[in-house]
Amino acid sequence: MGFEVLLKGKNLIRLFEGLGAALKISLISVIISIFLGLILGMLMSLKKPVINAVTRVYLEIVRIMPQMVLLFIVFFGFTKMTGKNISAELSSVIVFSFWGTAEMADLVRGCLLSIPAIQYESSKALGFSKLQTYIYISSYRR
Amino acid sequence: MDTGVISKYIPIFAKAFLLTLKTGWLGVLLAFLLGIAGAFVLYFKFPLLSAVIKCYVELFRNTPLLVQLFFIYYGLPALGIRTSAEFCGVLGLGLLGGSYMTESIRSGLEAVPQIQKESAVSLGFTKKQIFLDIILPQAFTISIPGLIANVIFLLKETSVFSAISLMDLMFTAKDLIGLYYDTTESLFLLVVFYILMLLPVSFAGSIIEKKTRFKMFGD
Repeated sequence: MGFEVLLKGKNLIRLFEGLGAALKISLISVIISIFLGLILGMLMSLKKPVINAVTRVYLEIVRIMPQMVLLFIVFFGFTKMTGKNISAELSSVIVFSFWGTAEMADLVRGCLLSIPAIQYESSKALGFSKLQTYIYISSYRR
Repeated sequence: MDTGVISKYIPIFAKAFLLTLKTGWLGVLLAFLLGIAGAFVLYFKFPLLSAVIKCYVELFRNTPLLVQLFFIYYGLPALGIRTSAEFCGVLGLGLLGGSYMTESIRSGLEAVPQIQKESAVSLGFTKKQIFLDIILPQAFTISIPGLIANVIFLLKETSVFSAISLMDLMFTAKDLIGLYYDTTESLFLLVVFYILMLLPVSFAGSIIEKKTRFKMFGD
């Protein structure tokens, strides 16, 4: 089968370097998108019309555009427009965070909206403030 | 942004658009066929076959399409089978989609509450009737959102076809950028054509989701 080629020269080391790069990019993007996604998801669950309209467009863009296209836009388009060069690694982190934030925000929104209304009503009856309701009721149930 | 350049590029992109559309939808069709077959095998628990399907689903769900395409495109000729890039693309997309479709259809079938089946038995339905008239329609409505998400995902995944030198939208854009350095115009057209391809699907999907949604007992 020709698997020896893996052990020749520096091939194996290079493969592992590739694995390291992939891991690094994905780890950074995961951390960024969890944070931003949480915040955006909370904003989306407030049901303000302006926020809703903006996030709907954002989610639709992410849903429709292939990641390759987004990568192209950031890597080639940004450079062409501003004349500044950004590294391949940075542009992939930007794209994957952009994409991950949308997915995460949608999940967070879904979870927040799935909390039964009775929980909110009970907390109101017990005299919790809005912030307290949010911190003690919503985030625990999520 | 140069309108002259854009109008010159539109026919080139339109050709690539048609090819992308064709391979994408053929792949989706193949994925549906594979998914339905796979889900039925898993649901009825055919002994040996369901183990094979399980392995297939895990294998294809956990590897990127690009890797699968490389295996198909460079692996098949090594086995002595010569095919076109287009066929490889459709096959790869179909196999990837098949695994996703299998999972969503199977979960739909299994999400139908057990009480429905038992009620049907107590009302004297035959096994065939239970499956066709009770389980299948309900499973269908449950799995619709997942299936639509899968279709959009698969059509999006056609963007990696450029790696096996299929002249799709992505390949054309890369080619034009490399040849003439009209980056802004090419990227603009690329985005426009992808929107043209997927926005109707997304809209139709949300309409279908609304039309097929129904209230479960106790909702």
